[in-house]
Amino acid sequence: MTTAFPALVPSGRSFNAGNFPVKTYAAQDGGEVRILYGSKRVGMTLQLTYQNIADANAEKFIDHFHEMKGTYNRFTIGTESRDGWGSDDKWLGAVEWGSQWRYAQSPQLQSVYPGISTVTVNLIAALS
Amino acid sequence: MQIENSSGTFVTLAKVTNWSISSSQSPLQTTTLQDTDATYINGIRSTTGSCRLYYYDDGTTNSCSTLVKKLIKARDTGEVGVATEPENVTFKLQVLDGTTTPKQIEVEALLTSASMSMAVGEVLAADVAFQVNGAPKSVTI
Repeated sequence: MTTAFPALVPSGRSFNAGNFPVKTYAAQDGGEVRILYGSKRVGMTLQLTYQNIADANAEKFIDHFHEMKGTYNRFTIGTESRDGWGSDDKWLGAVEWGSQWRYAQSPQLQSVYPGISTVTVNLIAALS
Repeated sequence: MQIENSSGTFVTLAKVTNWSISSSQSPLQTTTLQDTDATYINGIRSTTGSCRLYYYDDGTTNSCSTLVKKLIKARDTGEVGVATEPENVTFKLQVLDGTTTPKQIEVEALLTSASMSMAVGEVLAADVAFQVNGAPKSVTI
């Protein structure tokens, strides 16, 4: 059974909307040629911070990272990660644009108090 | 004030004219993005205090220098910058309220400052400030 991404509400969130696969060529006369190589926006990034959570919850991120074989496998995340966003969830998502999330790096865990840790997770959208 | 001596016995040490002890903590914020108001859980506690001792010797129970000398040390090797390290002290701050079990707080502390002031017509006094190491050893208040 695959471990689901922890269903916790983050205390901080940073989203980058990525871009369409565009290649830009600059001509010597200053002109610019842009070629659109795809119809799907890619490269979205999402940083989630879970401040001062119980170690038992912090452990879930390490467990999930392990289950996903680190940065290898793609996965979806629950709506909890977008709680507090006052508009349609799809604008902070990846699935709606044909991608899924994968870890951009390993979760960063900081121990702050006995039984309490802060975890930062960096995700990047991958089309395949 | 009662201080623990080297044999582990508490002895009355000095005439204290006032003392204070203050405990505080730094709560850890647990606010999430769905909250509208900040939420917290308990965090690290810290206890500090101070006292003023009258510095005179009545031949029995008042030896203010015992405490002050826990912090102030003379150089012991001839090296200008080398002296014996300060000593931690364990003492009780008491309120003698006439009951059989007086209100008291027993702490192990690191002295953070010791200063003596003298003025004409006054008894020499020493102000001592301390940082409690960990939690108090006992609290009866």
